[in-house]
Amino acid sequence: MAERLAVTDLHKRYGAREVLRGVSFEVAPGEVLALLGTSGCGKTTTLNLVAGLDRPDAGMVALGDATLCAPGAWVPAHRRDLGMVFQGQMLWPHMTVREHLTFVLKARGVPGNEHDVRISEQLEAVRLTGRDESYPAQLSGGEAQRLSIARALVARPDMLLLDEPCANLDAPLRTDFLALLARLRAERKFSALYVTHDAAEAFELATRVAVFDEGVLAQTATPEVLCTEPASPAVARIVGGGALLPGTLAEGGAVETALGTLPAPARAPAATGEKVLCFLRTEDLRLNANGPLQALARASHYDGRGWLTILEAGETLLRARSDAPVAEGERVKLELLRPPPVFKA
Amino acid sequence: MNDPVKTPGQPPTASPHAPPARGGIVPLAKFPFDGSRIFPALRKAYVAVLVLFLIGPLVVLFIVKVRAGVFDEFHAPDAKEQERLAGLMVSTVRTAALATALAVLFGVTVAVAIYRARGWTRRILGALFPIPLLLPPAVVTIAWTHLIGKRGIVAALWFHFTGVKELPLSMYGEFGTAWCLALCWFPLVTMPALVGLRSVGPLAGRAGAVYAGRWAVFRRIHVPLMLPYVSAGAVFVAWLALGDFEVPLVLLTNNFPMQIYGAIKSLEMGLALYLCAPMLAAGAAVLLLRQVLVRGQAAATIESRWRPDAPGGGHGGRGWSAAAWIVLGLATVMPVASLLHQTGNWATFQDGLRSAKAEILHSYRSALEGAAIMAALGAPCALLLLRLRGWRRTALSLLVFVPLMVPGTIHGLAWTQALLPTAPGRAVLGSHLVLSLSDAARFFPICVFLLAAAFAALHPRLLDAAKIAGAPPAMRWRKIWWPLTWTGFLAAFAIGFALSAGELNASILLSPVGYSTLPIRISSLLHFGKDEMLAGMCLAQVVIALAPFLAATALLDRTLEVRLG
Repeated sequence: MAERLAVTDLHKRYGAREVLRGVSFEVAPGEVLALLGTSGCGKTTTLNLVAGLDRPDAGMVALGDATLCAPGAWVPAHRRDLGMVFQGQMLWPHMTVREHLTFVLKARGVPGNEHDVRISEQLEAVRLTGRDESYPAQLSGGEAQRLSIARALVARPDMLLLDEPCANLDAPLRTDFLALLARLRAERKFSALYVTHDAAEAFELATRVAVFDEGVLAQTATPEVLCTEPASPAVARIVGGGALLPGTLAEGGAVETALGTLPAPARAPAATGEKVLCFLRTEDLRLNANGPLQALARASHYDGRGWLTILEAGETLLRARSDAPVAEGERVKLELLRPPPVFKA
Repeated sequence: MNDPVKTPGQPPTASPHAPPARGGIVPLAKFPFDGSRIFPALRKAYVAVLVLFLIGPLVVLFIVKVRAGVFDEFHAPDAKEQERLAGLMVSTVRTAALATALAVLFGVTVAVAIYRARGWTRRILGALFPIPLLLPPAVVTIAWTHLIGKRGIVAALWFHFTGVKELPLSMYGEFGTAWCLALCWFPLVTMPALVGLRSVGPLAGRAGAVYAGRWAVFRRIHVPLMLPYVSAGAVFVAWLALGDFEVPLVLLTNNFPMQIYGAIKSLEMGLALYLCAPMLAAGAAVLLLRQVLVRGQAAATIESRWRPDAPGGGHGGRGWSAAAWIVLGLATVMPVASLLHQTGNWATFQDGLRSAKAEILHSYRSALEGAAIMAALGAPCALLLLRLRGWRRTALSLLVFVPLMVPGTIHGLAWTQALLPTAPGRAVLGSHLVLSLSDAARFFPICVFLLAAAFAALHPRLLDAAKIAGAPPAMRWRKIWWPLTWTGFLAAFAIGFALSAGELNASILLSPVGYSTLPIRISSLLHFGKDEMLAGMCLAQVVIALAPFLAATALLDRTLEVRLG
């Protein structure tokens, strides 16, 4: 279990549309890499190419020492030692829980005398003991999702692929599922490739996150780096948690914006006088009566973690933390807790 | 843990492994053995066989025979005869249109009732609705004649109470013919309408209801969304009704297909072909009309996912249920009860069975073989139809539809003419095989439609999941593809069997000497046999068609029960 996955320069085209353009990344043994992006950006296509459900036009996929796919080499999906959790679960409606797991074990060539032990072990791990003879239609949403992960892991694959597994789950089920996945990962140390469009989900589970933007890997980094140092405005937008505020680079590197003058970035992205975009994270903006910046309050609400105020700065709407609600139309002062990433507009 | 119970059949919203096709349609599950890569030559050979099987005989009839000088000694009918024929054609088209309208009314009513019903009502209605399809039009007409015909029960009661011999509504006209045909063929509308209702779902209507009244929602939302589905079934009904002469045969009325039959019987081949032309034009016009009606929406019909476990369309629907029960009662209970009454007693029924023992066996044999050929040959066709795009798909659809578009009489004539010139052909023509082959070709489109619906219901990701699990192609076929699609084969086989067992229009021309089927025997006894004996044979025909269907339904019901919990 847990092999290194190397994906090199993947290209894929569907008709006239180029879905992937030179995607490369690695997943270290035991690591969870999340592929994050908006719909149609190429993340599920990448997962399908890794799984062997589709062929790339160019590029290479290797798992450990084995080349799964390269010019002149192709290992079909059923011979790649992978497990996969599908969006919408995709359980076989005509098979019981036990039959699902037996099917995988048989297909993977696990000796018959090991089946009972493996199945019991797996059902216990996902809390499905006693449900072995149930059909998918007889399972609740959470049980069905746990069966899908049991199916993916029962043969102890080299790597686990997850294709938006939480997309159809409500909030409590999603929390349960992510907790179960984290526990199983801690116990079994498998590597995983996790496709999602939800940054919070990616940050909760992944060691590193690869952000896709229109078929290109825009940035691969830890959640912390992605939040504080996004490589481009597109990455900042996908990662979320803030807004892009236009401004102009002033003498000395400071940025003139509708909020006021922002501190100089560590590295100037453009020449003095040029237009730039500053990524202002919600968590870095705080209402402070003595703050150097100014904006117009539009609304305030409590979001469970504290008060959140929506501010208007020029044509941009920003969010900032505050200790108390603010009246609509009030001009407020605020401070920036750290210099924001600045991009050339 | 109190997880909310998942709605059975909740539509998966998986992002498929290829980008969605036109209109956001999720791609179809690939057959575990990817024929497009492994067997391109085999695919071409299959299409060639299909062309030969489905339109080969017609090509022989209309091209080879015409070139061979079949029109050399033919004299076109005089003006008076032309006028009479034109009148008959108009009457035939009017009857077919009326039958189609009634079938749409009945079919949609039953589909909506099934869609909206819950629990047992839904299961019973779902199991019963195809039964009228199993009753040959001749049998249904005989039964209805016994009820409201000149010597029928209702007429006797009417005379008893009013002293008037004639009923206000006569069976012996266009309405009576259309009524019987509609009662036989309306399940062909119910099937696609159900697929449509389940694909479209209740949300579109509910969304519309926020902004507009009931009528506007019906006209602007429901009708356009359901039109491709309902019209697909209506086209089948219109074609079958256009070409039917079983009902006029029973009612002693006349229509255009009967003229063709008469011309063939009197060996006037030129006249028969001359008369075929307007019928073929009418068939093509029906298809054209449908294409115009559903411009741009037709692609959704066949790719829509048939989900037997899909949730119903909401609540209530008692009125729809009541209407559906009435329709099913008129189409099944009334004819059977009428036949039982006419048969009189068990002994007459047994006599009927005994005297038609050979015909019953022949019917079973031909229908079994025909259904098997249909299902076996139809499966690759359904897969191809679902996979192809653009002009290839249109060409294949047209090819598949041709045998049903052509009236049964012409179909029978074409097969005779195609087989006659060669020694092997004559051997086939002299054996029972000709009936099996002809039935298989004639009802091929209905079979392909059922199979395509079953294949389309299989989500591609279910096979992907098996692939990722490590299952090789044979195992994926055996453990996933087949268990999830065999019900489609069963349905296609059962319906194919029933339709073949009751086929008369083509088989009356094709049956070899000394080899008769039950519908042929019934038609020969129509006006010369004892009524009780005829009714007994009709009951035997009903039993023949119902037995395998009920067995298939029981099997399907058990399977679905297991799957749905």
